[in-house]
This record gives sequence, C-alpha cells and structure tokens, in this order.
Amino acid sequence: MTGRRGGRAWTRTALVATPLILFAVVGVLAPVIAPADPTVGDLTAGLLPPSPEHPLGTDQLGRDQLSRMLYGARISLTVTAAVLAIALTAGTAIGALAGYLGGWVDRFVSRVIDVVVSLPGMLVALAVIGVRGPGVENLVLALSLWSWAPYARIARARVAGMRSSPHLDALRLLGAGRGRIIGKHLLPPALAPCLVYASTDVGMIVLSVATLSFLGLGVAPPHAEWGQMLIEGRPFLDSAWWLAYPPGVAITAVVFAANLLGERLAAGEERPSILRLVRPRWSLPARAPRPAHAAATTKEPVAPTPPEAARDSSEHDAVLRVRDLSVSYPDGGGRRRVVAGMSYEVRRGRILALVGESGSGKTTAALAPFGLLDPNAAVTGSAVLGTGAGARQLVDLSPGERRRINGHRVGVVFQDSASVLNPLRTIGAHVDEAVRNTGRGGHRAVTRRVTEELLRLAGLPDPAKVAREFPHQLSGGMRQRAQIAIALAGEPELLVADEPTSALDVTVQAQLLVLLARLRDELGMAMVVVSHDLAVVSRLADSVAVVYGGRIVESGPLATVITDPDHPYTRGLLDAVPRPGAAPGTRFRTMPGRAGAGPDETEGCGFASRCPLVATACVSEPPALEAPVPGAPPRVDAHRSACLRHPSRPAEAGERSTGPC
Amino acid sequence: MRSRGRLVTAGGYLLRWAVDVFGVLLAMSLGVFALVLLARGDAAAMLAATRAGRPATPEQIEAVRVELGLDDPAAVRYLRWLADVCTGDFGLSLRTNTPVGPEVADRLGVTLGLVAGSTVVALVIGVSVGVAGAVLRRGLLRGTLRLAALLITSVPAFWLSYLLVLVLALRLRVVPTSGMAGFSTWVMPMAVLGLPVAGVLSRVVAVTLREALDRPYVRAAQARGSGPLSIVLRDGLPNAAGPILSVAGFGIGSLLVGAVVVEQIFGWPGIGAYFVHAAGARDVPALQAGTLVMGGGFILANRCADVLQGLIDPRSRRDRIPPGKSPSGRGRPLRERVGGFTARSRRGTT
Amino acid sequence: MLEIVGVSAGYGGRERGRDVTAVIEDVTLRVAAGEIVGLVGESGCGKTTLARVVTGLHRPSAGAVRVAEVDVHALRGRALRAHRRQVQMVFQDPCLTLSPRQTVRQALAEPLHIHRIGDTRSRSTRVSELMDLVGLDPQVGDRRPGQLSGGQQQRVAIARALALEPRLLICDEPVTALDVSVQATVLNLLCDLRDRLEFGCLFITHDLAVISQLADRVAVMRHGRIVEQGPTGDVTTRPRHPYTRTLLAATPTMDIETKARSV
Repeated sequence: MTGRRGGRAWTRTALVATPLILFAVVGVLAPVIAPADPTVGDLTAGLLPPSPEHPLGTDQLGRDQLSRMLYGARISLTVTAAVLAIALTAGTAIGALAGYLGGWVDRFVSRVIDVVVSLPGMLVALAVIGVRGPGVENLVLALSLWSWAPYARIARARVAGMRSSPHLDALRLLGAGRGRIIGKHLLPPALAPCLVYASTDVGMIVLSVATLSFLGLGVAPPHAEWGQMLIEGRPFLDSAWWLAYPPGVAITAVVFAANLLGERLAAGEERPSILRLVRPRWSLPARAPRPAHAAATTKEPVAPTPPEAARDSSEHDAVLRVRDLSVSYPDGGGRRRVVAGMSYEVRRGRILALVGESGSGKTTAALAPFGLLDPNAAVTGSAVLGTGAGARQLVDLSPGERRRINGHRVGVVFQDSASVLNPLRTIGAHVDEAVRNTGRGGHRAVTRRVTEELLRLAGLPDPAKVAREFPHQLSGGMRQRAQIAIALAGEPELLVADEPTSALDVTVQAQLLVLLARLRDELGMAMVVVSHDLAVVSRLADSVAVVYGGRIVESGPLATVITDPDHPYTRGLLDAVPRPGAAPGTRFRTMPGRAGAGPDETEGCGFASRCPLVATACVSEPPALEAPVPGAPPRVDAHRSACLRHPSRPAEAGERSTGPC
Repeated sequence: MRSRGRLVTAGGYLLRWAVDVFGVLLAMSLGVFALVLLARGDAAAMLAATRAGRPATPEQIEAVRVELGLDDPAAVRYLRWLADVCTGDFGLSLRTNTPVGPEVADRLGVTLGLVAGSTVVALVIGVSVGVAGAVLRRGLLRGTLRLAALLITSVPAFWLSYLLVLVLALRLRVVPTSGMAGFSTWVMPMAVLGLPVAGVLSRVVAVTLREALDRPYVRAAQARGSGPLSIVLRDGLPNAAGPILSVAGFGIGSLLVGAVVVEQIFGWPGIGAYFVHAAGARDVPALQAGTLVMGGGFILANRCADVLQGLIDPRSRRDRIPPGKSPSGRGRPLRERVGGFTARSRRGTT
Repeated sequence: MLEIVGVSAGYGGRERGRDVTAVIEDVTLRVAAGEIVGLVGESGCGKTTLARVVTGLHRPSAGAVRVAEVDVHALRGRALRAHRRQVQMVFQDPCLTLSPRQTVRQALAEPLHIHRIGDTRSRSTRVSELMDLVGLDPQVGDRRPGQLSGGQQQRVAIARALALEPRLLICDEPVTALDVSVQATVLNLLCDLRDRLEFGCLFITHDLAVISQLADRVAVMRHGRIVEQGPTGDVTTRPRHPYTRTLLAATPTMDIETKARSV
C-alpha cells in the first residue's frame, strides 16, 4: 500500500518537474528543432501574428519568435547549468571539508559563508557585470561568485552534524580511514539536501539571468534571451501579444516549477497542525480498512453493557469511567484502530497504571478522552469524568467545552519534559498561564503568588527563582516537577501522567514517585499513569491494566496482577523484568516473536502468535475480558483477563505440562 | 548530560552583534573596493576622455592617473578610499565627472520611500496569508494560498510590471503608467516590489508556524486549557520567529535590490536607476557607491532580524556549547529543516 | 584483557596541568577475558566518556588504557586501525549508529571491506554467519535500519561489532532504548555470545537491576570516580559506599514475587 502511495507521490513530483524537463530538453535540442535562425530576420515580415509558418509570429525585425524562444531557453540553460555545476561542486566540497575538519578551518569557512550568504546576490551580480561588461562568461562568473555559499552552508551543517555522531564513531572503531568516511558516509548524505536546494536554485538562476538581460546587462543583442525579448517586446505590449507574453510565461513556468519542486522535495506534503479550531469528526464510525477485517470488528468482545455498568458499586466514586473506548486513524482508504474497546476506571485517591510496551496503544488510550491526540484521530465509546451532578461525557466535546475541562478538572503530565515546555517562555509564564486559564489568577503579582505556591507544592525549592528560569536551565527532574505544578493549577480531580519518570535518573525517579504518591494521599487525587516499567508501576499503582496490541489483556488490583498473573503476556512481561538476587548470567525468560500487531490485524487474540499456550480457538475467536475465576462478580475493577485458557484457573493448572519455554 | 550553556546578557549580546555587523560591513567594503580590480578597461582613460570630451591623449591619462593615485599599491588605495567613503566622498563619476556622493544622497530618499511602502505590503500580506495557511484546515483554500504565493514569487518583476501596466494603466486607466506623483503612482511599484516578498514570507510563516504548532508544547498548552489564539501568539509565532525574522530581514533587504528593476521600469529617480546607468557605462565609483549603500542597507536589515531573534530566544544567546555532546538537534532543527524554497528566499528576489 | 589504570579525562583542553572540565578522574578498572563487568552510574557521571577513552575515541589527560597489553593511546595511523579490531563498541541508540542508507547486509560487510578481509563470496558467507549468530532472520538482510524494530537494529549493531572478532566489547547502555521484553532477549543474546566467543565485556548502564542479573563484577561510578567495585553479589547485597546504597534503594525492582508457575 505504501508502495502505491509512494508511486503516486512520485508521479506527482514528475508532473511538477515537467516544465523543468521541457526546459532542459528544448535548451539542448534548440538548434535541431528551431525552424529558423533566431538572429536573422526578414524586415518585410515584421510583427506578423502567429501563423502556420511562424507558430508564434515574428518580432519587429521579422525574426521567427518561436525560434527565438527556443534559443532563449538554450542560453538560459547554458548559464544555469554552468552556475549550478560550479556552485554545487565548489559549495559541497568546501562545506563538507570545513564540516569534517572542524576547528579553526571550520570557523573561518563558516564566517566566509556567513558573509557571502548575507550579501545581496543580485547586487553582486550587477556590480560584477557592471565592471566586466555583459556576456555569457561574465554572467556565469557574476552568479557563481555567490551561488556556492548556500550549498556550502547546507553541506557544512550536515557534515558537522554527523561528525560527532555515534554512526561515525562506530565506523572509526571499525577502523575506517578518513577517505572512506568522507567519501562513502559523509558526502552522499550531504549531497542530498544540496540537490534538493538545487531544484529551487534552478528557478533562481533563470530569474537572475532574465533580470540581468532585461536590464541590458545579460546577453547582448542580437542573441535571443527571454529577458532580452521582453524588453524588445515592451513597446508592443498592447498590440502584439505574441511578443510580450510567451517569454514571460516561459520564465514564470520554469521558476514556478522549480519552486514547487523544491518545496515538495524539502517539506513533503502539508498536514494539518495539532491545533484544533473546529469540532473534530469524533462521531466517525471506526471501520476496519479491508473487508477481511470487517469480520473482526463484528466479533468484537462485548463491552460491558449499561446494565452491567449500573451494577458497579464503584460507580459512585469513579472519577473517570471509560467504556468501550476505540481510537482509529485513517489508513489507506479506511481507518485502522490503534485502541479497541478499552474499558477502565479510576477512583478518587487511587492510581491506575496502564502498562504496556511501545506501540501498544497505552498512551493513546490515556489521552484520547481529553482530545489530546492528532486531529485525524477518531474516538468512539464513552468516557465520563466525575460523578453525580458534575459528571461529564468527554467524548465528542467541542474545543470550547474541552477548554473548560482540560486544566480545570484534569491535569496532564507528559513524557519528555524537554519538548513539552515552550523553550522561549519561563517556567513562571507557563504556570501563570495555567493559573489564569482556571480563573484563579488576577493581578500579575497575585497570579505569581499562586504560581509560586504551586511550584512549592510540586516540590521545587526556591520557587521564585525557578519561576524566572527557562526550561533548558532546569534538570529533567525539575522540569517534570514544573509540569506537575502546571497540571495542579486547576486543582484537578484527575491527573493523567504519561511516562512521568522515564529517562530520569533512578534517584530522581524515586523522588518523583514519592511526590505522586503524596499528591494521591494528601489531595485525594485520582491518577492514570502510563508506563512501560512494571517495576515503577509496582511501587506506585493501586490497580493495573496491561495493554497489548490496542486492547487491555489483563487488569485488576496491583497485588493480584503481579503475584498471580493470568494472561500469558503479563507473565512474559514479568519474567523479562530483572530480579535482584539472580545469579550473574541467569538468562531471562523471553517471549518469541515481536509485538506490533494492532487490534485490526488479527481476528483472534492479538498475542496468539507469540503465546506458549496458544490453542486453535485463540486464532479465530477474540477472548473477552473476564474474571479468571468463574463466578466472580463482573466488576470493571476486579481482576479480569482476556485469555480463553485462563491459566491461573485452579482447575486447569494441573493439566498443563511443565517445562521451560 | 544536559546542554546548559552560560547565557549572555542582552546587553553583551547587542555589543557583540554590533561588532559583528561592523566586521561584515568592513568585509563588504573590501569586496566593493575589489570591483576596481575586476574592472575591464582603464578608469583613468575613461575619466580623462569624459573630461576632454574625446579620446584622451596619453599625457592627459597620466595626469588623471596621478590625480587619482592609481599607481599606489592596492592596500594604500583601499585605505584612502575607505577614509574618503567614511566622509561621504565616493569620488568622481567616470561618466559625468561630478561627485558621486551628493547624487547618491539625493536619490536615496526616493528609494527608501519605495522600500518602506513595499515593506508594509510585504509584511502585512505575507504574515496574514502565512498564518492563515498554517491554521486553516480546509485543504482547498490552503492549497490555493500556497500556489498563489509560489506563483507570485515566480513571476519576473519586470513582466509583472508589464502585466500591471497593461491592466491597471492601459485598460482600466486607474493609475498612470509611470512617474512618481501622488499615491496612485505608488500602487504599482509597491505591488511589484512587495508582493513577491510577501509570497516568500507567507510560505515561510505557513511552514514554520505549522511546524511550531506541531510541537509537543502545543498539546501541553491544550491540556492546560489554553485557547487557540493564545497558542498561536504565545507558543506558535515566537517559536517560528527564527526563520520568519531571517527571511523577513532578507526580504526587506532584497527590496533595496529589487528597487533597481522597479525604478527602471516606472521611471523613478532613485538609487536603483542610477546604479543601472552606472553599470551600463562601467562607471566604477558610482557602482561602488551604489553597491555600498544598497549592500549596507541589505546587511543591516538582515542583521537586525538576527538580533531580534536573539532577543526573543534565550537559547540562541548561549555563550558556548557545553563539552562532550554537540548541542542536541531538538532546539535547532526548525531553522535548518526549512529547506528548499524557504532557504531560497535567503537569496533575495528580483 | 582490558586494563584501565589511573585514567583521567575531560573536555575543553587543559589549563595549568588540569582539565578545564574534568569528567573522569583516576579511574582504575580491569576486565578479564570472558568476563562481563558492569559500570553503573547516573547521567553525567562520566560513563560514556570512559567508554570513549577505552575505545580510543577520546584521549585521556592522565593514565593509560591497555587492551591485550597494548597501550591504546600510544598507537597511531595504521597500527591504531589494526588494533581497533580488538575493541568494538555497541551504542545506546542503534538507529543512530547504523547508516540509514545501508542495508543490513551492507552494514555487516562494512568492517570486512574496511579491513580488506576476504573476497565478495567469502564476505557474503561471513555476513550470513553473523546474522545467524545474533539470531537475525535472513530475510531482513536487504532491509534498511528504518524498516527494522529496535531489537533487530541492536542485533545488527552487535553483529557488526562482532564481525572483526574483537576480544573486548564495550556496551554503552545497549538496552536502554528497548522495551522490557526486547531488552530481555538482547541481554540473553549478549550472555550467549560471551559464552561462545569469550570476549571481555564492559557493560555500561544506569540500571542496577539489569547489571545485577548480567555482570560478574560491578563498578559504581559517581562524579567521574569509581566509588565501589567488586563481585556483583557483594555490591548489590552488601554495599559499602553510601552512594551505592542510595542507588540500590532508588532502583525500582519487582519487590513482589510472582507466583512460580511454568508456562
């Protein structure tokens, strides 16, 4: 499918480049295909409109306009090709060398590049031609003098960026010499962006040549050049359109194609941004992309039906109640789900952990109720925040209504605090904004007092100083605390934390876990914590939901799930966690195969292909999330597992053969 | 290892910036002076001929040569020339035998007026169309704006002038074809000069603002309940400011150069027209003066954009890169990833 | 196999006989053949700098690094490149260490090309052997790193490091970027390979839990100095240095024992 899409993109790129290709072909073949000599005219046949004999008419000197157009392309092409060749070769070589050598060579060359790039190119060209006179060689000289610099800058940036990369370190360790490193591993990647730039540069050079000719400083008459032809056509602007239009159209077409091609190659297709101005299309039904999978959708494990939910004794204090949540993204012609039929809930003063490996859909499931996914995500199901009169359905809210929930009743702490805080604003400005959003602010000083209070609550010493600092001046742990302060601004009922401690040092991580536990205990806050780390979860959570392939495969109270896991995947995950006290060299028990299948890729259990207990029924029938012990109440927060075999069921335990997997 | 460099205070940053600009201007003056060395033909012979009104005798040429000090070493001539330039003395025009300085000063006002008007056109249209391109979700309108912006930057300025003259002046007769008297004569030059820069600027604003709006901090702002306007103004535009400012600086600077063509077409007595006449006659002192004035203005516009960026972004004022690891790409790529067309605008338009 | 004796290193040049910014100071450490030594420390403690010094990528300001009795930093040019075959490194992010433009087979053949080992056919055989060694499916041979999972990428990086049959392997946080189940398979692979090929291994990580199940000996590093080293069991159960105790206390482990049941 990607191949077909790639092919279509390629065709469109080729289409965009057509004027450029035409320009090159015509330029090369002009002497062959031109019907007449562009410099020889018949004065008696001046200013003839287009006719079969002169398809583009003749100019005031009776010269064939079509032939002049074709030869004009040739001159433009000659200059463009020469300038491009010189600039590309010299620029890439100089830039790559400076980038690789580093040190004072690099500093000197960078400085020169800076100066040349900051010179007005056309002015340099005008001045050079002004002192040297017109002509093709002088045009090439005038344009080459400054055209190399952008290539040098691009190549230098690329090479300097790679110079200290682990990739080159690895090659050096393998014993690769300089020549091999530069020639085989540095130049090709440096050349690629230079070529992209060259595609727009073609337009730039063509435009420069035409402009210089127009000012009478390019190619001298009687040679045909597009800019030159436009001056000659100027007096006939209103009377002989065939003189004033074709050269202008030709220049515009070539330059436009070059610009379009360059932008296409550099940026690719445009996508809408995350920022949402209108109500997203929530209500879109999630469809499996291909008919084969449509069957899977219909055989969906039955989500807890309303009567069952009504029987939940926990309903009265569940801060967040998610039922049958599905999230899908457009894929090819249809939509592909990444989260399918998830139900979870979290009570006041409790922490629910969504555990899973990367790509399992755990973060998507946690953020979906709050509209924090990409705009093309479609969310279905139900997510109710709060209880009683304050209960609020979150799915299908408008952006305006959402703003009264997010930051007020729900606080979110994201992963990777380095990119989640705006680098140009101080920590204080972030928290101030959050405080003002919730309406707790007032006069500047009042707001700042609240801000400092929040920072102190998040365990930051000296909040006044931290408030004045920028994100990059803080350590990862402090930034994470700042995020918590922002999330606390609205005194929320619910805190959602996505991998709050990953990428932090263990000592810092331990302190943050203590902070989160305190917030739960002292403020009675409910939390949904997303994590890949079972060890972290075991220190923090009250209940756990294990996510695999976009579905919850096992959930329940922390102690039960960890000490007596039912689902083979949960057990596999637990086995992979290093244990203290194991003898050095003890092998981990591992799961074969790799994760990655989404809920729409398999008809049965998503784990079937890796499962040591797989049975024939597992492949065709999706298991329902149910209590492993028969007869237990079907509560959402009780221990439940989505496995047909329920290995922890006492009756079956003896039947299985034992042995290492 | 976190990259935490020492921050330079804004004052120190400004001082370093001033030194830097001075250095670039000095380097440019060297290049401008070097034009003499590139020149074909003998300046002394040209000036002597201009004075005599006919091809000069060897004695006359020698006299001019001594008068101009052309036999001195190049370094001496450069220093003398630089000293003269600093006092506003650009020498005598080889074409008219009159001082270049006062002539340039007279024409500067016209050009600056034109550039100022075009700057307003470029900034207002460029930024508003760009912001629309970044936040609009309707594919069709966004695509149209994008193509229009690319098209307007692709049309050669001189041909665009023709088309405007044809439609506005000859057909509709709403504005005169050329000259400068009254607002109506300003419409076409300002449009021809400003619109292509607006086109480039709108693309840069659209691309970089969109990229800034795709950053995780926008999601975080949504999570704390901030509205779209606040997000665009506080998180979007400031973070996109780097490329936008540098392209705007470059665009405004290139308006000075673009004025060369526009003044020529609409018959405005500005520096641009003077420059073209000088180039046609290989009048080196006049060319030097024109290059120095327009080039200097261009560089100043550029560097002002850089200094603004430094004042907005505390990270770009960072003194030195901390040891060990190169600065992580995280903070920087916005500027570097804007490739192709946008990078092309670093070159000015004509 | 590896002897690190009194090594100090830093960045930013030297002033008055001292590093402008010292990163590691007076580190002494030994790794025997067939032994896995774990080096544990938090970010910024100098672990990675030590790895760069050991592999010869960074020059120490004092002390010596000897691999198989040869001082790594006394070598130049050709001799250095020849010696490099003995020490190879596996980096944290396999995606960054592999060239995005080379297929798996090309990447694995690269070291053979560099050292002009064998002809086209024997190289191809060797590449297949290597892929088999690290458990890579032959059909991924024509893929590029971007088309591989994190675990597969790291296997390719390990295979490439082993292509020259090094006697010492430096692993700098090789499993940090991987999911826990993938991490387990890669760690098993390293153990198996060590048993089969008997190379010495310096395993750098921030994760005491991983080290305790993997390494024969452990060294704990803080602020550029080694504060404690010894057999793994001693360090993790009877830590002497207070920092080691802090680290052990902070390291989240599965304190709750899962009911033993074979699956």
